[in-house]
Parts: sequence; C-alpha cells; structure tokens
Amino acid sequence: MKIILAVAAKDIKEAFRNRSTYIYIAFLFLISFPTLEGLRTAFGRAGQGASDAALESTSRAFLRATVSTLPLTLTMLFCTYLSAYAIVLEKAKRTLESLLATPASLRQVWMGKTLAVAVPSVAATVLVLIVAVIVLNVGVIVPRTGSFVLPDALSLITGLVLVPLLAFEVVAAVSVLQLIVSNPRVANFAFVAVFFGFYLMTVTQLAAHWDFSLIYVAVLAAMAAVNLALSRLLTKERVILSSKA
Amino acid sequence: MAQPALSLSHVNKKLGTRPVLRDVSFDVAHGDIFGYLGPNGAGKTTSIRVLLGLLRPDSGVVSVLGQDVSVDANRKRLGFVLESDGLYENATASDNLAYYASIYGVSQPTQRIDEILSLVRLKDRAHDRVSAYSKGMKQRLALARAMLHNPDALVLDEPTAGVDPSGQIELREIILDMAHEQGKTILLSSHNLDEVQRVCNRIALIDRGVIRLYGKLDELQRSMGGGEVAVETTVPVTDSVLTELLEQPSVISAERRANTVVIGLNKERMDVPGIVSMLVGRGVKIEQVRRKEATLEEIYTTILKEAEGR
Repeated sequence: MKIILAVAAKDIKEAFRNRSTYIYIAFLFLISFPTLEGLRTAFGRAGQGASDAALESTSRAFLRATVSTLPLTLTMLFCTYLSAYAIVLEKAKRTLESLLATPASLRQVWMGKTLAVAVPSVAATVLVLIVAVIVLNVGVIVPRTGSFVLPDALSLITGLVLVPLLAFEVVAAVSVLQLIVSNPRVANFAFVAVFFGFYLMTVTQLAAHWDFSLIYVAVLAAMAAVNLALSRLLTKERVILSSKA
Repeated sequence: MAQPALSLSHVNKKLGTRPVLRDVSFDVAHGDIFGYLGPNGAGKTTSIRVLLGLLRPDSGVVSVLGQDVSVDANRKRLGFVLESDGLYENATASDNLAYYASIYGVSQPTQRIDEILSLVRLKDRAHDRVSAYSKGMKQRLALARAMLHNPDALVLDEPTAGVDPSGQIELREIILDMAHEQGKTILLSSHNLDEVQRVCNRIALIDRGVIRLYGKLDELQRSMGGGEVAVETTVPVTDSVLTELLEQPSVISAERRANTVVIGLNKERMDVPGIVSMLVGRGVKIEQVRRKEATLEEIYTTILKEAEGR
C-alpha cells in the first residue's frame, strides 16, 4: 500500500505543480453553468402559474438528474487531463521504465496511477457539484419557491459514492490501455466518449427520468469484469516495449 | 565457487520474430567492475532489461545476487541507471530522491538524501529543478538515485553518454569510489572504450545478440597483444645490434625509435629473456623493458572484424 500511495502522491504533486491544472479546474466550473439555464427552461415548461410545490418537485427532479450525470461528465474531463501526467508523459519520457526497475510491482504502479487520476478528479468534481447546487438554489430555485432544495438521498449516494467508484473503474481500465498500447493517447478516447455522453444528458436533461443508481451499479459490475480481463494483459514487457518513442 | 552477483545463463530473447539475445551467458563476480561492450543494436540494453526484470527471457536463467529477478522484491538490493536518466524534470533533485526513497522504503530518508547528494556533489543544488541541470549533473543525480537504498550491485547503462569530458571524469571517480570504497559490484555498459579500460577489470563484448568475448581485461590484453616488446635504452642502439636482433629466431621485426627499440616477436616463440641477454651481451644499457599489450580498442575492433567475417 505504501508504494501505491507514494506513486499516487508523486503524480498528484506533479500535476498540481503545473498552473494549467488550476485553469482546468476553473474550466470545470465554467462548463457546469449551462445547468443553470437548463433549470430555468424546466421551470418555464412547468408554467408561469405553477405552485411552489410543483416547482420544488421540478427542482428535485432536475437536481437528481444533475447530481447523477454532471459528476461523471466533469470527472472524465479532468481524468483526460490528469492521465497525461500519470502515464502518457511518463511513458514518453521513459521515467516509467526506471520506476518499473525498482521493487514496485506493475500492479502497484497501476493502482497508484489510477488513484492519482481518479482521486483529484472526483475531489474537484464534488467541489464543482456543491457549488452548482448552491448556485442553482440561489440563482433560480430560492427566488421562485422561497425554499432551498437539496438533492434526495439516493441522488447524493449516486453522485458521491457510485460515481467515484465508477470513475475509479473507468480510470483503471483506461490506465491499463495507456500502459500497454504504444499510443497511450488513443486510450483517452474512452474518457472523451463518456464525457460527451454524460454532458449531453446533463445539458439536455435527456435522462431526467432514468434511474442512474441502478444503471451505475450494473456498469460497475461490468467494469470490474473488464478490469479483471484487462489486468491479465498487463506485463512489464508490454509496458516497456510499447514505450518506444 | 562463490555465487556470482549478476548472472545470465544461456539466455535467449526474441523481440517479435527477431532474435535479440542468442545463448547469452556471463557472470559478474562480487566486487567486479564489469564492462559490457558492443555496437549499437548489439543487444546490450535488452540484456540489461532482462537483468532488471523488465523483459522476460524466452529461455535461460537470470539471477541477481543469487535471486530470481522476476520477483519484484528481489530487486531491492539492485541499483540502476538506464539509458534514459528517468528523472522527473519538473521536480527538484530532493523530490526525485524522496520519491525513490519511499519506493525503496529507505529509513531516515532526509538524512540519506543529504548524504547521497553530498557524495555526488549536488548538495548545493538539491532544491533546484532537474530541468535546470546540465547533462552531467543529471547523470550524477541518476547515480545518486541508484545508490540511494545502498544496493549491493549496480547496473549502469551508458552513464556517461552525452556528458562532457570533465563530467565524465567526475562520474568515473564516483563509479570507482562506489566499487573500491563501498565494495559495490558494477556492470557498466558503455561505448566509451577508454573509460571501460580505465575502470573495468572484466569485460564482455556482445555483437548481434551473441557474446563474442568474455574474460578478465588484463588477460585479454595480454593474450591479444601484438607480441611486441619495447626496450628503452640509454643511447640509441647501433645498426649492427639491430641487424643481430633481426637474426634472432623469435624476432620478426625490430625498429629503432630514438632511445627505444620496438621488437616484434613471434607469438609462439616469445623469448624476451633471451633478447634481453643478447642486448646486454652487446653492451646495450637497458632502462626499461615493456611488453606491449593490446588496447581495448584493438581488441574490440579485432573481435568485431572477426565476427563480421563469419
């Protein structure tokens, strides 16, 4: 565990040494703004004379969809950026080869790098999510209903437990691919695909009535199987030979 | 017989369909400074990667300090500098070493980092980013990282490549200090034949995946020497002495160069004492007799030419 944490801590430190990381976090806040407009549209659809109770119900449904989809959108976007530090750059600069010649096992390195990408991404996302809920309330919900509406418990569990777990699983799978393929950037398309899918769902409220908690639990199980299969492909030889410039 | 510190025994390795190592065997004894030579693409880096457990041999046995190197924990007593220095350029020297100290589980890391940075003369630059370092400084830092956990054996893949002459001298001094003062076993892969000749006691020469030459450097130099003897005299020898020398059955050539006579001898019948007696008998006053040994460059060129002819 010590080695896993050492690898993760180094990578996180390395990423946060760079100013562009902070710009990226600011960008995460920026792209969550359209949700504000999304809620106004939902209120518009509810009608001008809708009761406070109806608007609160609309707000709750909106927050449920937002809390279920927005975190994964933002997490994947940040993962794309952070994984460049954790694996892509290390392979290109051949620092990974030196790390693998130490007593660190490949699995420890894999887990360390997965944590280094997943943990800051989830942390930044949770921060953005908290701010988004406050802004939605202060900007739209409270002026119209007079009360502060919070997402329901299931949404919170989905957003704060299932999404981080799912992010970890996706990052782990992408990390294996980045470690063993000769063009690790290609693996990033997995992040980008998830990001766009969930971003569309967030801004269009396309999946407002879906039960994401169940979907995520099913995907988590599937991703665990995928990671188990992928981990069998993980050998030092594959990593070294795919690191050739 | 004591177990070797590093050993490759009948190792074969293909990369794709191309055989890169063919029945490669060599041992590095404890305390040796072992020079590993060969042209580009000969298989040196692949051998080193196999030795460090980064590549798995298709067949053969690899052992490091008597242990199976494919077991991750067994690499704890091994230090290395790879072809690429493997340093994090945006981090400081201290941060680079602190990271590896945590990987190796070094006790009292701060104190050890200070010690090791002093040893490689980088203590005053400990908090500078590595990106600001010269090539020589980076290589010294890579050596510091290799020694951080006080390993018993070190594998150094071209540690002086791209370093200026004064930097090379500094690195050489550190390597010699590691071997002689700290008793480390060192495998040194290098293209710099002069460097290998200065520091190594044993060598192996690999070419196209095959070990062409392997043994103690001084023995190889003697056995592959040109069979020449240089005799330094107080005054130049006379023409008659030179003629008489050429009449000796073991002498092939004799050439006068100021106060030195360079005598080419038949390798099968090298009678140096007989030659010296003859010269003394002719009243020649001898100051020094030196047997000319082959230089590593001569050995390297000869072996590679022979291999090309096969």
